[in-house]
Parts: sequence; C-alpha cells; structure tokens
Amino acid sequence: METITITTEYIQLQDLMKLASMVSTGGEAKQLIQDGQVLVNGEPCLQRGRKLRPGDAVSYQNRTCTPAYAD
Amino acid sequence: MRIDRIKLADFRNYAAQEVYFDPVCNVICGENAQGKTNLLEAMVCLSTGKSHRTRSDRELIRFSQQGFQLEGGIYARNRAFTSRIEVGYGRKKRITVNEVPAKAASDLSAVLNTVFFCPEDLQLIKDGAAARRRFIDISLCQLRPRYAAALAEYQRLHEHKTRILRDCADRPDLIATLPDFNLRMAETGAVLIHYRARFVRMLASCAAAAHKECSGGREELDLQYKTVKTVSDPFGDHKLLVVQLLEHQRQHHYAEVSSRQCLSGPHKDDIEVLLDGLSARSFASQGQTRTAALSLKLAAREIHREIIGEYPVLLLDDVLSELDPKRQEYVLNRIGDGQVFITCCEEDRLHALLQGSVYRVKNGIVTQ
Repeated sequence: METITITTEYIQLQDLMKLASMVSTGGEAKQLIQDGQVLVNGEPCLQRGRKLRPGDAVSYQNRTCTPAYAD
Repeated sequence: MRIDRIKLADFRNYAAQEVYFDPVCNVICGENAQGKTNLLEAMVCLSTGKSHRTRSDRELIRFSQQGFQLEGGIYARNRAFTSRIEVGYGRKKRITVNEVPAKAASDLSAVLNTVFFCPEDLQLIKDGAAARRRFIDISLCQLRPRYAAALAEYQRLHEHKTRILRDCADRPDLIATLPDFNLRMAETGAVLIHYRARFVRMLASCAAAAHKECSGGREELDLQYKTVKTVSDPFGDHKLLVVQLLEHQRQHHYAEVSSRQCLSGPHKDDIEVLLDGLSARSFASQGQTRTAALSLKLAAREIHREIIGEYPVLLLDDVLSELDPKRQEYVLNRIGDGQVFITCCEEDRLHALLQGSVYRVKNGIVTQ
C-alpha cells in the first residue's frame, strides 16, 4: 500500500490516479474508471469524481494507494 | 516565486497604476502617507484574498469610489499566472486565477505566498495570544488549504455559538441547538490543533537556529504550543482530539451559559516563547523580544520554502529603520534568494545600500 500526501480535505478518484502516476492523463483515468477496472475499497467504482479521504484505498492493476493528510 | 507586475484600480489611494518589478530586490521609497504600505498590502491581498490590516474589504476601496480591482502577474512553479481580485460595484467579491473563477481564497495562495513583516510584528512576543495565533494562521492558511477551510468554518461556528450564548436569556429555545454547534466545533477544532502542533514544532526548530545566529549564540529560543487543557497530546489521533475537546466543553458548559461567552476551544490557543527556559513575554528585554520576533518571521519564510520548494515573496514594511545596524545587517544577509520588497523613507540612505530597483511613491503614483 502506497501513501499519497494531500493538502486538501479530500481528493477525487481521477485526481488521485494522476497524482499517484497510475495514469498519465485524466482522460486515461476516465476510461479506466468507466471500464470498471479501478477498485475503491475492494469494489469497482464507476464515479471518477468519488471523494477519497484517508482510510480509502484505490487499487488498479497491482498497485494500491491511499490518501493521507500532510503534516 | 516572484511578482512581475501589479495593477491597481481604485485600491486605497491608488486611482489607476501599473508597476513592473525587479525579480530580486525592489526598494519602495517615499514620504509618509503616500501609499508605500498600500502597495505591499495589495501584494498580501493577492496571496491571501484579504487584507492583513482590515476586517472589511470595503475599507480597501478608494474614497468615493464603488469598488476596486487588483491584478498581479506572478511567476511561480516555472510558469506565469495572472491573479485578479474584484470587490464592490454592487456585486459579490470575485477572485480569478488565469481567468478561472476561484472557489476559495486558498486558490490564490496556491499561486503566490508572501511573508509580510511590519514594525508592529516586532511586538509579536509582548502582545496577547491573539497576535501569535494570527501569525501562525496567516502562514498555515497559505500552506495548507485544509487548515484554511477548517479555520473559516471554525470562526463561523464560534461567531454563531457566541450569538446563541449571548441571546439565550431572550430566546431560551436557542440553547437546544448548542450540542450540534459544540460537536462541529470539536471536529474542526481538532483539525486546527493537528496542524498548529506540527507547525509550531517546525517553527521551533527553524526559529531556534535563526535566533542562535542573531544573538551570537548566547541565547536559546524555544516554543511551546498551549492548547485546550484536556488535550493530552496535540499530535494525537483526530478522533481522540475530538473526544477530549468535547470533554472540555462539557466541563465548561455551565460557565459558558452563565458568563454568556464561548470559553472552550482552540480559539484560545497560544504559543509560549521561551528564552533560555524563561517566558519571553514576562522576562525578556526590549532587544531580546525584537530578536525573537525577527527569528520567528524568518523561520516562517524557511518553512514556506521547505514545503513549497520556492522562497515566498518577502515584504518588509519599514522594518529596517526600526532595527539597529547589527540586526539590519542580519536581516539583509538572510534575504539571499527569493524576491524582496522593502519600503523606506526618502531621507534614509537605505536604498543606496541595497542595490535594487528603486521606486518612488508620491500621493498614490509610482515612478521608477
């Protein structure tokens, strides 16, 4: 599990995928999410604007990331 | 990051003015009451969305005008930005960054960060806790958007709770809503404590180093974060902080209702400044408190650089004339990288010493 540091209250699913370099463009993230290839907390999530907070886990291929607040 | 250009329209005593700046050092000189500080105030506005000296945006409008516009050409993160603020003209306040409407003032600080230093800041140590809270709030709001959001919500809740407590004699039914306010205040308050504790820790290590150098290695400076009494560990888990804040509110419930004031919460926080283990507020000399205030401000600048990766724009408002030559030299040596704006009076020879672009301000008109 990788930790991605955010400075805001939450981050959207598509933005977290870009920030974590799981995808290189937002369009790519949109496609993958709509295809149901991205899991949030173990279940496929089709909302690319899904708000993620610390404790949520995003899985795609063999990577899993979770957001955490910056100190 | 740097400010390349600023454009003011009906802001304070400026009617219409556009100024281009030097990327390193800018000296703004002029006689008293000509608009030197107003120019720096405009830069603070462009980084925080509001002025540090007023509570209401209306005061920033030029006399007998309907509104003001501010525009800044800013270079940060290796690209150019245009930030704009528009207040008045019978409309809501509008903030845009590169023509995109901003949802919150924190969108401005994502582009431009400033550290502002004025003569009143030299009293930071001797003043009440509110001055020191304001000091950390200004820095943290620029660095952590989540903190800025929590602080705005907390302040609104605090205002409402105060109103409820004040009016509860006439409107006893209002008291029933108090638990809801208390819970949300504990939740947002816990976020504030989380960030303040970490910020004070960073500040302490940076300020201690700066203070040691400035005092010639003779004094040790330390900072202690003082928050709500029931909080056992301000670095603790968010859920635990909420429980402890609620506990403090419960203990003070009757005191709050009978005194009709909001007594419990992080709006009473303080940072205690210790010099060689003694409280600086009670025991430090005039010179010591100035050196300590200087160290705190310069430490804030270092923290900005550590977190953002670029030096923030440093604004020195008439500070140097208030310092003795030794401390002046210390501040000037510390500037090093990053852009700096310094205001001074016409008479002093400071601008000859500084080797930067010199701008003269006379009655709201800037000439180079």
